[in-house]
Amino acid sequence: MIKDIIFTVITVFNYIVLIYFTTLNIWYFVLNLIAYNGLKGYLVRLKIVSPYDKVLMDSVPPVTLLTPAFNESKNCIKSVNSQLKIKYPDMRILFINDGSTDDTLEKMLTTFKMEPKFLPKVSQLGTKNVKQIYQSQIYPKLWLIDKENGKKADALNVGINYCQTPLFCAIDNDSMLEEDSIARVVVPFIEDVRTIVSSGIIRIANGCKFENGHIQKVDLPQNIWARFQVMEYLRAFYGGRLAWDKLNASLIVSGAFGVFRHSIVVAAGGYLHETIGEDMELVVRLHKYCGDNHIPYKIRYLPDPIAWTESPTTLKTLGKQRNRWQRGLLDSVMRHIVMMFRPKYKKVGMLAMPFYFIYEMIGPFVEITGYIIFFALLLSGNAATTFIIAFLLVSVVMGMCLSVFTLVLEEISFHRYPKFKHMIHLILVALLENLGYRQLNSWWRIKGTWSYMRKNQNWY
Amino acid sequence: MIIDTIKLFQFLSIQNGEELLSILILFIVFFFLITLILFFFAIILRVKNWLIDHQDKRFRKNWDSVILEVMHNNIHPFDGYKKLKKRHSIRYLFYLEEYVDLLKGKEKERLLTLGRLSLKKVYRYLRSRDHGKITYGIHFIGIFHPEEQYKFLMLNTIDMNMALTAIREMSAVNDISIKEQLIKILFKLPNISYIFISNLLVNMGPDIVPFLRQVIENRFIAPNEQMIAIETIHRMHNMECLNLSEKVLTQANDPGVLSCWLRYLEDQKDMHQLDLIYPFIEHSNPQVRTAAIRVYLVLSEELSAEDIVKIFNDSNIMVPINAAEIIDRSRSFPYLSTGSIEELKWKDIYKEILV
Repeated sequence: MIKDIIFTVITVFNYIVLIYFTTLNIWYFVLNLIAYNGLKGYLVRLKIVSPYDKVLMDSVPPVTLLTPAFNESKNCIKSVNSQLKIKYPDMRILFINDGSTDDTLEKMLTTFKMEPKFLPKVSQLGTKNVKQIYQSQIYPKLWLIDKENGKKADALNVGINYCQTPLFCAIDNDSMLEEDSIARVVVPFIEDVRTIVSSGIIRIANGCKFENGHIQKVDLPQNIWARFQVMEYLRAFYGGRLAWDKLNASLIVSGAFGVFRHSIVVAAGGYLHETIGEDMELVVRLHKYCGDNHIPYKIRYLPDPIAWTESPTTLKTLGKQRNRWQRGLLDSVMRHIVMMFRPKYKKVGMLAMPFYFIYEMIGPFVEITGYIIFFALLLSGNAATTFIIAFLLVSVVMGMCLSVFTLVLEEISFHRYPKFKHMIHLILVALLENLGYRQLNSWWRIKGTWSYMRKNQNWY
Repeated sequence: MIIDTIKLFQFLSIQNGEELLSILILFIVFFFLITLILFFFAIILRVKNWLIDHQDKRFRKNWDSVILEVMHNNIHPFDGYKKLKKRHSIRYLFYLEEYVDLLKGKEKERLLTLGRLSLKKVYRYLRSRDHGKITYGIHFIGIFHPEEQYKFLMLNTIDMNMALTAIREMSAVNDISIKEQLIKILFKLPNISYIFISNLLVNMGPDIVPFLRQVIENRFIAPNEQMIAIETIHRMHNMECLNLSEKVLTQANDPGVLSCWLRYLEDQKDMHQLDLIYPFIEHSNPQVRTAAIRVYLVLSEELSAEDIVKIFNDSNIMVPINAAEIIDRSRSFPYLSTGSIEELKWKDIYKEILV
């Protein structure tokens, strides 16, 4: 009798897993369709209006580029050089040295001939002490703020405090922006004054050829883990973010590339120090702030302003990254859980928050538990092999379907991977990632959840 | 109830899992078919994109030679048109547009004539139900037949994307009554940056100034319209509206309108405005105060110590930052004792100017 009940419970759980997967994939499928619709309209506009259109360029607001850096001696010169080449009429670069212990500061000071200079502090977000501010004698638009170490959020808040322009762009030191990325990403601020955040797509730089910080040749990475991430990023940015943008319910703006309205970020309190996912937390808080204060607003995502970033190439670093992302996600959602199912926050409260809670937070647990139970049943001889194979096939085919849909979106829009073999490789990746990589991801996310529950705030 | 539970258990039990298996197989087949369709679609798209790229390379040789010949008046546009390959394609029109954008005068006119002959597909697009196609249609009709574009624009102001596309090319319209109508449409477009709209209006030329003047003079109930009008005359560097200063500064209440006007005055550098501006240095709105102090500093020949104290004790930091920019430029400093400087709220900014 007890044995029967256990098996029935397990079977019911199997049904739950099946329903969970089905609804999740249907959701993703719907999101992809919404994304397709949004992309179509955007492409028409893109074909007609160049990012360097004179009327647009005469109308763009000044932007400050905030680049926080901690021990980036290897990359800092390359990335600043790439930023200096960005074509934008009115841009200032604030490189924030977050108490680096290597020779980042020395390299910057000597390479760009930087001299101490006064810069007024325009807002008063609480931060660690600023030691000195420098200005480049070669490029007057390049500034360096040397501060005590306080992690990324603190460094960004220092940048915000010294930002005198109405917009600022937060980027990672290892991100390389295309020269027209800023000109493209600010367009929503011009065409709709309610826009408070606008961001672009992040693509994997591994395998691509760069010269003087600019992309020369796009190629797929040789490393298999990086290649998996290419597909993953495409799926996330084309399918997910584009659709959430169309629904005006974007919860994530990548820390690697996002433009923010300075005044609203200051009013909302800037980046939060005590969180690991400061980028997502800020965006969710901005939704809450605007909802609470009845401020009409838009948080936009555009699929063509590109930032190229190096992705992890070893399982260890990739695992750490995913662990960190999961902790960031959990922290951002849990901090603002009160927004869930509250009509005041519109689609963010009614749709995006529940989606992230049910599918992104609980998802890995359901997936891994499902696998464990299936294999336990299989090993104990209580489940048919055909049944297990069928279930795994459903999961693989649904995953493949979404990935191929993403490739279609890439193909109708920007097709940045030019060779035919790129496409075939990406389709292969879409198949292979279901056989191990996806499960690993879920495992890392479970570990991330466990770390979060133990209140681990380490970056690694 | 017990029977129902037993039935449910039987239904869910692994031994009787045929139903579940059927559902799973159904899913596999369904999603596999969709994947397959999408896969072929992706391949077709890739091949199509590849073909288009190759065709374009070939066609561009033909288009280049014809366009250059027409441009240099070596052949008549009609003869050129007959020599063109794919002459009604949208790709060709986009290509021709690249030339048109770079040219002025007679050469541009010749290419516009050449383009007008290829609008068959554009007219078809304008009758389409697809918003994307209509937008392309409006774009090309705006370049090659701007007067006709207007009637399509009137039909499509609901679609912001379409309206914005259409309005971009309206500078080519040479009829003031149409221009006035278009300006009224622009005024009604919500949430677009007034600077962007004013830049669009600048392209319409100085003949719209009398209409803008009327707006500045009479539309105090619509501050957004006034801001657009002021910003436009500012960007046109037009001096005809300077005599409205007293009216605007006394009757406008909106901080946006006031700061716009003050920025316009800063650009005009008219010394006669100094007395009108002075009261705004103590305005309650920091944006207005900043603009007023900027223009005051530009117009006043000498700065008093009292001015310095007022500016560098302002509650808003943007006031001294903006002032520093102007003072730095003019380099005329009144004497302030070290003690008085130390008492300034924004003493660091002031000291930096002195350095």
